[in-house]
Amino acid sequence: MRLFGPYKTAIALVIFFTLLMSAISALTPMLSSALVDYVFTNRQLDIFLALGLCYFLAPVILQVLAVFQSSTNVLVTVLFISELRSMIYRHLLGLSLRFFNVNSAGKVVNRVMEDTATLTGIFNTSFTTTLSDTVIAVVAIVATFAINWRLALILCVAVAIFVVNYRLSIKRIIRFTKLMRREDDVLTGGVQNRMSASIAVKTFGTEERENAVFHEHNLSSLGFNWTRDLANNHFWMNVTIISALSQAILYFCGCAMVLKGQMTYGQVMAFNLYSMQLIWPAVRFSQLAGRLQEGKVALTRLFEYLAVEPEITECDHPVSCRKLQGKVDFEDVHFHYEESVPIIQGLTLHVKPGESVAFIGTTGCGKSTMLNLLTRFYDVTGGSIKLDGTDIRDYNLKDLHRQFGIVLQESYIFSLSVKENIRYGRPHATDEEVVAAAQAAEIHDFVMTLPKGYDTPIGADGMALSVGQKQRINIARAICADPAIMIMDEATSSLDSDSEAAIQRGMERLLRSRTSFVVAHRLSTIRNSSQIVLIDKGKILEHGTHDQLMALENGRYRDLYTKHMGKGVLDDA
Amino acid sequence: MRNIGGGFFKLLLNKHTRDYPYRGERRQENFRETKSHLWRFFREYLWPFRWLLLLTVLTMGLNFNYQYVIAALNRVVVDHILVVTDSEGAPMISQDPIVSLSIMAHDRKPEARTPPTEGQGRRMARGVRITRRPAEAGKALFLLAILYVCTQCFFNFLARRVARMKVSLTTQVLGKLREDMHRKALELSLSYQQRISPGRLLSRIVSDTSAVRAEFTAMLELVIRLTSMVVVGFIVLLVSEWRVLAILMVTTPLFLYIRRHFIPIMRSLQREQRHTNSSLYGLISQKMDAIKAVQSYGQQEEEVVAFHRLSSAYVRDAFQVQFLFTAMNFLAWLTLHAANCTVFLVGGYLVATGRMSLGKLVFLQTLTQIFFQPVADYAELTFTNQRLQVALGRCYSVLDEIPEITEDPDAVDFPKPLHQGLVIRDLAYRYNAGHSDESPEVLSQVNLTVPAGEWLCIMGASGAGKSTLLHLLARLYTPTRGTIEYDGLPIDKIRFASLHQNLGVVPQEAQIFSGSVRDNIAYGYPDATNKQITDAAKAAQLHDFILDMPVQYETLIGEKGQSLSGGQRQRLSLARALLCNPEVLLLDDCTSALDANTERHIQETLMTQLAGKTAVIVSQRVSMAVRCQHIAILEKGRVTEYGTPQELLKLGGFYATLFHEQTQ
Repeated sequence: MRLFGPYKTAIALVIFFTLLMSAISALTPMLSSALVDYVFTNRQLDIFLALGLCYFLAPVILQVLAVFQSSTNVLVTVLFISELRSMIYRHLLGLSLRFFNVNSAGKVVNRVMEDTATLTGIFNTSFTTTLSDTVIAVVAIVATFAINWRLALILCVAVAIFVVNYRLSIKRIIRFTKLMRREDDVLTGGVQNRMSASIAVKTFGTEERENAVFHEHNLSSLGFNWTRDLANNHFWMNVTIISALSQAILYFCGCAMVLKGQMTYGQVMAFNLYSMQLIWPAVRFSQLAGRLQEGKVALTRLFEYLAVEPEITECDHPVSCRKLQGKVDFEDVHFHYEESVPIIQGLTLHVKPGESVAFIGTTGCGKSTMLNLLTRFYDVTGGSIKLDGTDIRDYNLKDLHRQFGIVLQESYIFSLSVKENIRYGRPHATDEEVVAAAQAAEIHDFVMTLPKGYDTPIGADGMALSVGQKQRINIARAICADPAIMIMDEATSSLDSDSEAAIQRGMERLLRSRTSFVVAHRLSTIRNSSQIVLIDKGKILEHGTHDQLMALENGRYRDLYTKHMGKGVLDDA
Repeated sequence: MRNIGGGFFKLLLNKHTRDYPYRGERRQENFRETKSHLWRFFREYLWPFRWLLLLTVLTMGLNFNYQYVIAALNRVVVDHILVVTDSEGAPMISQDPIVSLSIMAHDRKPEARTPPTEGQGRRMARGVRITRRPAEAGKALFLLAILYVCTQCFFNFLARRVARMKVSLTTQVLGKLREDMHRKALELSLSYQQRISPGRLLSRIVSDTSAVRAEFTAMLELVIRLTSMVVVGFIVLLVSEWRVLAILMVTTPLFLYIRRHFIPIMRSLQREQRHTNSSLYGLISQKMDAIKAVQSYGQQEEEVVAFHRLSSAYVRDAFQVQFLFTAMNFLAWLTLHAANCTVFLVGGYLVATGRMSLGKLVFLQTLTQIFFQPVADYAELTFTNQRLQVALGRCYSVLDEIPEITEDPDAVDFPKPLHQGLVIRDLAYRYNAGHSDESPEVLSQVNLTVPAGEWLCIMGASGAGKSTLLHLLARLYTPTRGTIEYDGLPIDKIRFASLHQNLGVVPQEAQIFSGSVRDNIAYGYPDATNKQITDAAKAAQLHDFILDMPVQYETLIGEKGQSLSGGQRQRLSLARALLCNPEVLLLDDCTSALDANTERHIQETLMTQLAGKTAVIVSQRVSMAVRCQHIAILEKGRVTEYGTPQELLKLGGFYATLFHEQTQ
């Protein structure tokens, strides 16, 4: 609720506009009734001018008000929603990786955007329409009963039938729509599958079979389409006939009363106008509970996110720091997600500034986890990690993160220019520094071939880049951030050997004079590391330089290395 | 209040630029003048349903005009039943204000036995003639009421029939269109499917066809409503009151002008708003994907600011759209309102001065309102037509595509078993040949022979044309120049079915179909026995993994099932090809995502499984190459080295470098 605070006056304005509008629109039938009765048939020409002017002006005023009311209303809701979105977004950015491992990016985006949009819809329409519906409905009920209570009772019955029809039909339509969607999803999924697997379809020559499958999907999808459309039409036809018949009954009963002199013709007209005003508000009232429920669901889901406490928090008196030297000590580090499944079990490792460390091991052995612990994406569950002698949990988070330059297997390109992408980690880097970083990452020459050089937009809306180019931009970004410690997590494993070689050269330049941690798939890339750490099941199995490890008889590293390099295979051939 | 009130007009006056970070240029949709597809659509898809269409059109046209009938009935009620006549039966036209009260007065029947009311007595005393309703007014009213209800019911019944016909018609047309599109999409060659991405092709088949249906339905209704209602309304007005027609003839063009003028502006603004919204989506999903980068560079604050900036652009857009939209509607509405008021008030004056009957006024007012309904639609018509044309254009762009690869009528079976082998002569290929975005030759002057029963390994840097060459061998592309022959038989003289049966292709990107593991392996050979399937899985080193899955071979994979890693997909794809026991195997770097150990196992089983078969293998690994009898190195689309592994090693070129690099 406190989110609404800043908009109090604007909301009051909207309410005022709405009430005024409903009052005016509730009065217009009276005007036409008065005109017909008193002026046209009764020939009181003296009030003709006044009433006529009112008849013309009232709707004009109404429409002018509507322009302001709806604009203000939209402005308030949109401002509110964007505030809410910002709030959630800010919160999400502070959450730990564990959250993002559980919640896929797509799901998170949907919540931030869709659920807030649902809320917008509810504030934007439901709030004001309910308000104006109430006023209009009250006026209409009072007016119809005042004109003729017997007809008004008939009207009430008609409205009730109308609402019942609406409720029943809408349930049917929703059910059919769901079925239709399901069939459509099957159809779409099938086509998508076939289009992306077209090589298999073509090489196995199964086009006819696939066409037959599509024919079946198509038939059932269209069948449900047909049923849904008919149900929809059925509903509208019911609406038409119910309103037409009820109006007919009211009109003719009214006329009969005119004959008896119990009503005037103008009153019959006014009554009809009021009855039309009453029907849709009644339907909307019946929907209101559902709409509010929807809003409540959206709101709870949003609050679910807001309730997630950031796991990684700063201690009470965080130490701030500038660029550190890069001395890293892992002291008996333990880590697990769940108590029963330990990931890291008592790992100790000391790294001097400027050293390069390579972690190797099978998938799931915990090598990437080590890096995530070092960068505080997760916190250790036992032991400690010290950076330049201070526990990493004692540092200010922002300063700590700035010590690391991270290049991962998947590269991230933002929809910005090349320049902005490179200096993402240090927005105040000068153009010269950006170019220097790009040159070090061997991407400068490529960037110069782009139409606008460093100002070329890349990413989703811009130039498409190859995987290798993206990765090199990521490396340039890391270089530009000028970190104390570099972290490479399988940075080159998705590349072909050409681009890998180019990146290798860039990386060597990058790693010089910095502490670095590398996780690599291809052993050839880590031969020159100062320490090679072979991890197995969360423990260090072998540890030393390449030559030391190769000297170990029956060592795992030696075994892996020879196998990888194809020696064993060569012997066979 | 101040920031809102102050900003209110400022937002409107300052045309805000839409140049925000993370908001790319909106792609302009160009409604270029293409020839209309409507006639073709009518001929190809509607003609088979012509009678249904005709019936729908006629009943729809009839149905839309029911409002005129209702208005006419109202007029009868007012003028002939509620009206007050003098004793001679003529409608009362009197300047006497008291007499004119009579429409509210009791009906005084001449033969009434009750004494006149006090008021009537007073009037009689003043010498005013006794007034009366038309004879039998009550009975007539009752009859009219029944007529009225029957009319409503009849038209409602008619409307239901029309709706049914309309839905059936459009659904059938949609079904036919979709199937044609799907058939065509599968028939078109790989190069086309790659030029148009799979996602776009999907939306052509599913969304654009649905759009055709929706727009066609809307169009049908609009056109019929417009023509029938305007024509009938025009005639009725001309006959009953030409002056109202004159008023409408003045206001209608004004109304249309306002709509036509504003709608394009509105649409472009709405598109901008949608674009801002989708940019917001893009921004968030980008950042959620890259959360590691955002956090590790400590950019959270900056991100919130960037988001907020784009968000405020959205606020501006939303406000602008809403304000202009309502303002425009107001202007358009004002012309209608003016016309309506003129008719009602001037007509009312005429009624008051006795120059027009009340019934006629009511009738004319209703007519004015009815007349404007189709007129308001008219502005919509152009846009509906435009959208229909765009959707149809997209569908026809697929349907009109000429398949690049077709079966020769004199095609023969694949020469099985292969005796001489595979010969590639002077092969050249360029992508999108004949299109505006033609690429330079990705392959040129490729000459290779693979004797039957031997293996050729193709190596080279990425982008050298290795996959393209393999696709050409499988006839997924048609060469720009040169020929491919299997046992001297050109590849385009081989029947499709037979070619597919005898070539086993394992593409680089493994392809998974939604379904069980078993279905996936047996994709090319649905009648395979369980034994054959497990054997193929074992050969591809996949069997053990499958046994670990919850229901083993029946486990669902693909979109709705379990997801597989890149390596598992590759092995599945290999098993699929091995199951068919093809004569020639084409492997496209199909072990790239596997670890060294599994890769070696697969290489070993391939050695035994494929002994005696002909194979062309693209690979990055020397360990694979040394198992082949021949190696060809591709560089920039040309064969630079060709020979046995030993020969190439001696040559000291690309292969030798690679060999030393990988086997140090």
